[in-house]
Formats: sequence, C-alpha cells, structure tokens
Amino acid sequence: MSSLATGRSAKLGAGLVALAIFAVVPSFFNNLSIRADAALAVIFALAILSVVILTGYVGQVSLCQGTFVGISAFATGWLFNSGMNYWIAAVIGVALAFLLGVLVGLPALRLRGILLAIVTVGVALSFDYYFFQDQAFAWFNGGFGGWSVDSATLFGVNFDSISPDGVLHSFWLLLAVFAITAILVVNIHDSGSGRRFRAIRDSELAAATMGVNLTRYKLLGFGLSAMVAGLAGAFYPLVVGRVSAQPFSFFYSLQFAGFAVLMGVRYVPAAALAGIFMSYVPELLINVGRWTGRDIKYDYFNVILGALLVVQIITAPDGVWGDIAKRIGHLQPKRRRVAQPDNVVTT
Amino acid sequence: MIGSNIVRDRVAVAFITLSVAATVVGGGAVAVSYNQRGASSGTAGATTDNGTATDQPATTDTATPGAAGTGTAGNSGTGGSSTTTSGGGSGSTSTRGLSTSQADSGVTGDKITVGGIFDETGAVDSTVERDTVRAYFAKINAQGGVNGRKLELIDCDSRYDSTAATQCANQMISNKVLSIVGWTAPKGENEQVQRLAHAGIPIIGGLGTPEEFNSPLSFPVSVPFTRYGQGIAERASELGIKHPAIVVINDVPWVATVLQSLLDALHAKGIKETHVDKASATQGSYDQDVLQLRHQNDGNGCASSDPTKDCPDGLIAALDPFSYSKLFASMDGSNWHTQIIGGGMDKGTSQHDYADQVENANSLVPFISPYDNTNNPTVADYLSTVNKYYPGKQYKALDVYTQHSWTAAMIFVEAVKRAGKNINRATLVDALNSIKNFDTGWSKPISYAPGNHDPNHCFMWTKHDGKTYDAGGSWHTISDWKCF
Amino acid sequence: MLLQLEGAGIFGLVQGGVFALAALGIVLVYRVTGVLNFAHGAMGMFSTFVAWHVLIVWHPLAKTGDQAAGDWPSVILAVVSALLFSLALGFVLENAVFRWLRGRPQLVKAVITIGVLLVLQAGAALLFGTTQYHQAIRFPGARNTFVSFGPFIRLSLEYIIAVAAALVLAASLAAFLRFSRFGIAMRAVSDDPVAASLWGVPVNRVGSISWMLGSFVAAIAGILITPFINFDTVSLTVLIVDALAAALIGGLVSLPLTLLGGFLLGLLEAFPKIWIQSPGFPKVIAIVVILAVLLMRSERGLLRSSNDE
Repeated sequence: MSSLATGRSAKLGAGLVALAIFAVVPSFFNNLSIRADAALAVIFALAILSVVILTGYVGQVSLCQGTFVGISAFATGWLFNSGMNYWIAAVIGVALAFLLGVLVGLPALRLRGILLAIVTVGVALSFDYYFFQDQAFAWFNGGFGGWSVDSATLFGVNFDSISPDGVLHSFWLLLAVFAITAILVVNIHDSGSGRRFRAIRDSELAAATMGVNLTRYKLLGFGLSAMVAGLAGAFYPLVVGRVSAQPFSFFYSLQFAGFAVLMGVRYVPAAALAGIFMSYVPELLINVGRWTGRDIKYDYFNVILGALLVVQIITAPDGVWGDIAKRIGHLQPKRRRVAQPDNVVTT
Repeated sequence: MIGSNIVRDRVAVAFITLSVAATVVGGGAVAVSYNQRGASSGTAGATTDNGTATDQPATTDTATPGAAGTGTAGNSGTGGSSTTTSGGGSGSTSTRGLSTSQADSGVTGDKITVGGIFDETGAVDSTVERDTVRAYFAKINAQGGVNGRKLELIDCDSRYDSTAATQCANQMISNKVLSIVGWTAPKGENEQVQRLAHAGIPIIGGLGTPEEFNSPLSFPVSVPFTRYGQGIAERASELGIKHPAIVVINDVPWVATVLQSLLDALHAKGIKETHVDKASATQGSYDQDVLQLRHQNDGNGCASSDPTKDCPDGLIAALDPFSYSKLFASMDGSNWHTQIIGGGMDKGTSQHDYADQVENANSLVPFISPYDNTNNPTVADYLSTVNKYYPGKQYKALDVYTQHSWTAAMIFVEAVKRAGKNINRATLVDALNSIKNFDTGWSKPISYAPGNHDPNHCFMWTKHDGKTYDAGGSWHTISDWKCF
Repeated sequence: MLLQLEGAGIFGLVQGGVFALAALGIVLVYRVTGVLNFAHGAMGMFSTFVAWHVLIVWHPLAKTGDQAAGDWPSVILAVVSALLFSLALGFVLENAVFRWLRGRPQLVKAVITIGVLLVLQAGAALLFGTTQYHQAIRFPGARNTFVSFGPFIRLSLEYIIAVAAALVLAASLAAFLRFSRFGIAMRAVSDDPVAASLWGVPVNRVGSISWMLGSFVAAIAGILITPFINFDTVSLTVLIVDALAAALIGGLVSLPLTLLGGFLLGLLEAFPKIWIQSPGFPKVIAIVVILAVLLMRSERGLLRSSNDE
C-alpha cells in the first residue's frame, strides 16, 4: 500500500517537473509562433485528454471530440462578440459543450461499440459541414470569416493573440488548467465514479448486474469528456485570435481519437505527449520543407499519423505510453501484473 | 500462432524504439528549427530580449547592432543611419510607429524577406499566385537583386480557411517580414489586413477585398470587388440584358458587400434579377443550381411560367475559376446556353473544361488581357518569366489573379528601389506613398499617397470568340479602358 | 416548382444509386470479416483518383496537345486501371493490416480503419492535389446525350448510366453471394470463421477476396459519382457517412434493403435542396436517418449481429 502511494507521489512529482520545464521553455523565445504553438499544444492535449476520459475510462468510442471543442469555441467567440466578458463567455461555452456531450450520450444508452462510433461520425460531420459553416447559423458561427477575438484581461493580466507576451499568458493559464484537469482525471480513475466507469468499459452487462446506474454514469462520462474538450475550445479563440470551422472539422476529430489511441488511450500523460506532438510536428515538417527548399505539406503529417496508428494497434495495443510502461514494469522483478484488457475498449 | 506472437513482439519493440528515437530527434530538430528561424529574420539574440520589439517597434536601438553584425561594411553604415531617419520621420502620418529597424523588418545585409499568405491546399489553389511572385523575385535576383539585396518570399498555407489565415498572419509577424506581397487567400485575407497592419506590416497587392481599401498600410493594386459590380452592370446594360439570373460564390466573408454593390449597380441601370443563387466553392454538382437559375422567378422582371422556357435572359456569374468549370458542366448537362457575364474566367488551365459554354462569354479585366496582347512589354515579360521559372502546369494556370500578384511584386520592387539601402518598414511605406503615376504597362498608372489607397478604377471588356479552346478559341479585348 | 421537384427526384435517384453502391461494399466487408470499414469512402476515393490521374494527367492515348483525351479508349483504360488498382488495394490492406486483427474486438478493427482513412486521404491529397476542382471522369458524350421521357423531361444519359450501374452491380453482387460457391464460402466464414476453417474453407483467401470485392465496388461508386459531387479527396472520403446510413437501413446485413436504403437516402437528401441551399445540410439528414434507424430498430431483428459481440 505504501509503495503504491510513494509510486504515485513520485509519478505526480515527475509530471509536475515535466510541466514546469514545458512552462518555462517558451518564455525564452520572444516569438509569436513558438508561443502560440505551445499554447495550441496544451489545447490539443486537453482535447485528447477528453478522449482518455470517454474512451479510456468509460469505454465509449467517440469520433466527434473536435465538435465538442468547436461548439465551445464558437459559443465563446459568439458571446464575446456580442459584448460579454470573455471569461463568462468561456464558462458558458464549456457548459454548452457539456450539454452537447450529454445529448450525444443519449443514443449511447441504447448503442454500444461501432454503432455509437457511427453516430458520432454523423454528429461530427453534420456540425462540421452545417452548423459550423452554414450562413443560416451565422449568428452562431460568425459567418464565413468566423469570429474574431482580440484580447481579454483577467486580474489585470493581458491575454491576446497578437503580442508574444499575451500569448505566453494564455499558455500559462492553459497549462494550469491542464494540470488541474489532469490531476482530477487521474484521481477519478480510482474514485467510486472511476470504478463504475471502468466497470462499464469492461462489460456493460456485468456493470448493470453489479448495480451501476448505466444511464447516469454513461451520460456523466460523455458530459465530463465534452466539458474537458470544451475547456480546450474556450481558450482556442484567445490563443488563435479567430474561430472558424476548419480547426474543428471531422479530420481533427479523427486526429484526436487517433492520437489518443496511438499514445495510449488509458493514460493521462499520453494525452500531454500527444498534444505536443500534434502541435509541433506539422510546424517542424513545414520548417524542414523550408530549409530543404521542398514543399512539405500538412498532409504528410496525417500520413505519418495514420501509418503509426495502424502499426501501433497491431503491435502495441496499449499505445506507446502504455507499452513503454508495461515493458519497464516487466523489467522490475517480482511484481505480478494484472492482465490488461485489450486496448480501446471491449465491446 | 506462437511464432506470429514473437514476430509481433519484435515489431512492437522496434516500433517503440523508433518512436522514442523519432521523438528525441524531432525535439532536437524543433529546437534547431526555431533557432534557424530566428537567424533568418536577422539577429535573434539581439532582439529577443526586448519584449516589446514587435509590439511597439518605435524603439530602434536594438536593431542597429543587428544590422552591423550581419551586414557588409557598407550596409552596416546604412544600418546605423536608419536610426536617424526614424528620429526625424518623414512627416507622413502612416509611417508613425512603424519599425525602422532593419532586423525587425526582415532585412539583412544581403537579403530582404517578405511574406505571402496563399491557399496552397484546400478548396482553392493559389499556388500559381505564389509562384508568380516567386518568378518575379527570381528574375530580379538573377539581375543581382535590389540595391545588392536578394529578395526572398516566405509563404504560408492558409488552406482556404480564416483561422489558418490568422495563424499564417502570426507566422508572418513572428518571421518579421518586411511586407506582404501579392497574397491570395480568398477566405482569410480580408480579415487579416487589420491584424497585419496592427503589427506594422505593410501589405502590397491582394485580391481586392473590401478591407484592403481600408488601411493606410494596405497598398492594393487591383480594382476592388465592389467596383466590379458597376462594371458588370454597365456591360449587362450594353448587352441589353433586362432580367439576368445571378450566381455568386457565397463562402467568402466579404461576399455580402460585393453582392449588394452588384445588385445596387444593376438596379440603378433598371436591370432586375430573377434569382440570386448562392454557391459554394466546396459544393458538388451545379445541376440543381442550374435548374433554379434557369426557372426560378423571385418575382422580379420575369413572368415565364412555361417550364420549357428560360426565365432569365442572361447569367451574371461571380465565381472562382474552378467553380466556373462545375457550373458550365451542369449548364451543358441541362443544355442551357445563355449570355454569360463574369469576372475571372480566363484561367488558362480551365479553358478546356469550360468547353462551349465559354463561347461568346463576356468578361472584364483590370489588367490588359494577356491572350491578345502578347506584344505588350509587361505581358511579354510576365509570360516569359513565369514560363522560365515555373513552366508547365503553373504557367498554364495564369489568369487575372496572377496578374494582381505580378503587379504587386512590380510595385514592391519599385518601392524597395526608391527606399534605397536604408530599407525598413517605415522607409518602404514612405517609398510606396511617394509612387505617383507608376506605369505598370498593363493597367492605368497607379498612384499612392498617405492615407487609405484605392488606385485602380478601370476595366477593359473582353469577350470570348465563338470557338472552343480545343478549336483554338480565345479571349479578345473589345474595348478601351472603362473607368468607374 | 414541379420542375424543381422533378429535378430533385432525378438527382436524388442518381446520388442514391451511388450511396447504395458504396454501402454495399461496406456491408459485404462487414459481413464477411467483421470489420466496419470507416475507410471505405477513402478507398473508393483513392481508386477514383487513380482513374483521374490516368485519364487527365497521363492520358497515354491522347493523340494531340496537352489536354486529356475524352474518347472511349482513354476512358476505358482509366477505369480499368482504377479497378485493377482497387483490387490490389483491397488485397494489400487485408494481408498487411486486417489479417493481423482477427479475434480482436470489433471496435479495435473499426479504429484501425481510421488510421487507414488518414493515410489514404492525406496520401491522395499529396499525390493528386487538394483543390476542389478535378475534372470529372465522364463517359464520352453521355452528358450531352439526352433521353426524353414525356414532353418536359429530358434526361442526360449520364444520369441513366449511374442509376443503371448501381442497380446492375447490386443485383449481381447479391447473386454472387447467394449462388456462387465462393459466396457460400463467404457466408460460412461470416457465420463462424473457426468452424469454416475446420470444414476446409480457405479463410484467408475468403478474407482477401471480400476486401478486394469491397474495394472494387467502392471504386465503381467513386468513379460514377464524380460528375455529381465536388470531386476532391475530402468529399469522397466523407461520403462514408451517407454510405453508413444506407448500410444501417439494411441492418448491415441485408443487400436488398441496403440498396433500397441508398436510394431512399439519396432522395431524402435531394429534395430539401430546393429550399435549403447548403452543401452541408445533407449530412444533417444522414445523421437523422442514422439515429432514426438505430433507435427505432427492434431488439431482435436488425443489427443484432453487430450489437452482440
């Protein structure tokens, strides 16, 4: 018991040190892009964390996490542009994401596995192509140009997307939000709700037999996950300066799900890793293209992601992070490990 | 089965090892990449300590050592003199607060870095506009550059999206480019004018979206899209069209203003539209659009209730070059031939796809049409230069929008020449504002002055002859300049 | 108004035929291998772009000039190369990817198709370009040949070909599954792979051939629909949601119901276009159909096999 506790605080310590290092590095560069990319990395990490909750913990597959991010981002942009304080708008945005999450969770009460995945594909595409783009919803999506968000202040600190310092402030705030969310999510894992979540993941039938209220905990799982995704979305307009449909498209939803599975869908640190990867690697590819004088497009990134995902699912079902953890665990003598269930979820 | 498990395990180990290695290498490369970027925009070390360098660029002292460090002896001298210019200023209001530091303006001893935002992937392909600017720069560089400095274009892909365009604008600000030249991002550029202007980056060229005529730092070269409406209305009335149908590309943010100006101009000429169809660059077939364009009657001007009869007596189209192809294919599919007036139908690579619908179509161009003016020196220079550096597909894709980009590059180089050795954003803007009656060779002369700019007011009518592209059909200029 | 309704009906039937074709491929693969293939649209898209590349970019049979040839031999060459490519694609995917997933949960198999989708979509974007305009693959003269039905209705031959191809292919596919020896083997594998292998059914070969067939049908659907949609790498990839909706109407098992579902969805998506001009609205209809089918299905009947693992 005590060894478990020390192991835990060691992990927490390591995580905080990693966060601290990541927090400091961008402040050395007075460069808008590097800081904006750092902030975007945290936003992506939050979005992928939402997949960890929903898929890794509760076992529900969702291919519309980008939609949850988007609805919160659009709502924030919309309310801000109609004169509301940014932070109040952001809170409402997150609340809206929570609501949409619960709404999408409703069909999940009757559907499982791939059928639910199909529904989420439909949700993602209809928001992507209609509600986020169509002129009929211009009051919400800001029309074709989307919403512009210049700056906001909190306790006298300035947040914006134009000055490097303003972006750095958003980055730090985001990092704090991520740290708190991540710790909460880790704690949920072993809490009463977490045990019920995992019971649902392992077998809905068994969970119901044990007296788990399926309706309540499935909807809670969806709502929580959408809320975390909504957090990512609420900061998006501030960091980027604009909200439009493209960053919340179906393909981003696929990327979120793909990255979560690739890095290890049951692990919180994997989400952080995936966020950094998702934000910096495309940038890196473009820069490599510039030095070598070749035209390296963003699409290479998706080819790489897709190929890695295929190899990973076949060879290392628990994701990169999970596999490394497992192998390190095997090196340590004498601690029998409980057999892990197959990755993603059991249907 | 056991064998395959061992294989799988080995692959897993290799996979994990590779990912760890890739992460380490990638992380290192990211760090290097940012250092590289800093170096390319001047002197990262000298300027990054000054947190307000990009925000409040009026302070100039940090830059001088940068110019001295990187430049040749002669250049470092002028680098030093840049401070004096900034102190005195030139008296023009538009340059107040602009960066007078060469390091912060993308200028080093032997290189000038400018930026461009183009839709390189996504629904609209603007790579040919990018390559047109690159071709012009390559030509200038082959002649030794401007005042001993080579020109370099940093491009960013705005993906036919306004958020991506915003991120591109941030990248341009981070890269400290001297200016934006010849950008083409239909869905994003209108929104980014103020952001770039706020960061003190002058903008030269652009499609002609409304906001580009609304900033003292924006130097458009083309006719605003809002003025196209007057030109089209004039042409429609000349052709005797009384109740046309209208189809516009509806997914660019500035379309409402442009459409309203078109409708106002038509109504002023007593022309009533039968139907306005709003199309999207990403939509599929135009079959249903054509059906509506042909038969819908919104209650104005047309009283046909016979389904075999067409309601409108002409079609006014404001689409992108690619959407025209789809529209024309659908018009062919329903066997509808009518008088067409539209802008931007002259893209070389699309002419074959336009098939017979383009025959006798009417268009209007703010620059002399390259189709029948190959003797014009600017046209000849433009065609031969692009063909030299970007032959094949890009050369064939030239159209009125690449003419914008070429003109923007021309004016930029003229301004850089005028600004002399002591080039920075402030002196560039002063030089641009000093341009009077600059003869582009293929448009009315262009002049700028401090304040907002709107230099181009004139069109020429062009008309397609009665032959398809494959039969040697082509566009012909049929009027002199018509100014509005 | 009447004219608009008529136009929408015709357009809906054409689109429905293509949805039906795409859905048939999904159902085929799902029934035999248990993989719900989210990359089905992307596979069809890639093969379609192979045809486009041969016809428009290489155009080996063009006699003069630099423009693509529009004559029959060129079109046939392009279509045949695309179909051969689609067979190879199906074969490679089954042998390199899906064979290794047998016995893994259904959802894992579905998630891996997302990886395949990303590779195919982004790969096609890199190889063939991302702009929304690619010249459609058309049968020579079909667009300008009109067939009259009654006094007012004149249909372009192109429409008729698309609908007819969907019907013929669906019928022959169903017949193939029901009556051929191979079809019987396929059904045996789908019912119980272990028992089938004990009885000497070559499970691997059946898997390969199902994937090749699925990919083949997807390619035909892709090629047929190019004149009617925004022919780019994304539109064909996201056609998956319409195909899935049609497949769900067929309960992911029944070929005739899937065919019907395709046409139904095509019509449902076409009529609102008269009033709602939006390229995105059809996706909303697709999700409504999906939800309606899934939530109203009876517990025992449709989709039983997919729901219980």
